[in-house]
Amino acid sequence: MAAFRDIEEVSQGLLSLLSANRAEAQQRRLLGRHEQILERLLETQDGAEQRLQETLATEEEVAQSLLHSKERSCQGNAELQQLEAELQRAAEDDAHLQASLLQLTGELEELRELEADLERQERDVDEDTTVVIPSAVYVAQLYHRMSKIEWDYESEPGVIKGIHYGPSVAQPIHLDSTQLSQKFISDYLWSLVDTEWQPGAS
Amino acid sequence: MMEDELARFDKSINEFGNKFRNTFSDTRCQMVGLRDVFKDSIEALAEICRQNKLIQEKKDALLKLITEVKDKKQEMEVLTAKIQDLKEEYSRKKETISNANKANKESLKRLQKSADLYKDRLGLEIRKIYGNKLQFIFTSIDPKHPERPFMFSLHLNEARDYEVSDSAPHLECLAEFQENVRKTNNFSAFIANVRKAFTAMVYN
Repeated sequence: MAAFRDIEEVSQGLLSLLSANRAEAQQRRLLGRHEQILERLLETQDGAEQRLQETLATEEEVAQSLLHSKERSCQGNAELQQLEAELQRAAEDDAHLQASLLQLTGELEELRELEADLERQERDVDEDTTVVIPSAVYVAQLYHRMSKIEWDYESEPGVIKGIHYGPSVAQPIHLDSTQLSQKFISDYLWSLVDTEWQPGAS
Repeated sequence: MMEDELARFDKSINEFGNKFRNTFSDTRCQMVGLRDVFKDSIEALAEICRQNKLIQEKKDALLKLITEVKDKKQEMEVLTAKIQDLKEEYSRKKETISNANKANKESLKRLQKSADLYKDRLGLEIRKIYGNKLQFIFTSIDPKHPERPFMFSLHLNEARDYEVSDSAPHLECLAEFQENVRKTNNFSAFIANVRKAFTAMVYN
């Protein structure tokens, strides 16, 4: 702004000089100043022009940058939405699988109970095999040993049929249990058994 | 001539001066506008930064979920196979047990039938009692009371000899019979003689 005031002053000075008829030297000096001022004016014009250009360039840059950023922001949103959708899908899958796993775990649990049950049954069968049956066999053999009688299991009901294996002879047995008393039958059967203390026979 | 030049000069200075002043005030607005746009730009960048952070978080979460889903699928496969194997195994086991049980029950039925026949017909019940003893219970001895029991117990002692005990009613000759059976090992005669002795008791 000071430059313009100078310029105005110089102008005034020049104009008054022209009307007053002063020395040539003064005129030359003033013309010299005039030239300087012109130069400064031109420089200032150029400078101003440059600033303007720079400002315009910056404006464009910033506008581009903002546009670019908005674009990226938009893309970012789209990506976020997509991720959200994928997350939801994955979460659903996860929940679904969790439920299935729970069901399977339940099944496994039931199978464990079944296993325990089967083990119990196995133990029962083992007991029958190792204890109950041998015991029953022992008793049956004992009866056989002491009576020396073998029954006919196919005989008709009400008929007692069998064989008594004596020391020398096998005697058949045939009794009608419907006609005879229990005591008679017992006495008769025991009568077949030898009371002699023969050694070795057991 | 000089006047013209000066006048022109003066005019151009004024023109430039005006133009500069106008442009200056315009430029001021422009600068303010520019500053606002810069601010917007920075906000937009901050938004993008925030978004990126969010995107990364969600990507991480998604990766984690996907891994979990994969693990679960694998676990399911393992479990399913295991369950299938167990089912087959237990099915086989069940059949084995069923067959064995059936066979056992049949054997027991036969054995029981046999024992019952002996018991009923001979009028003699054999029981296993405490102390590894066998108890022999005769019925159909007493004609007036056929159901009346006559019993004694027998076991093998440490010397692996027959040993009698607890006869009811008491039988004197039981000791003698014990000696005889130890000597002869004739178990059949032993039992027959015991019955005979019990019977004799009743008729006396």
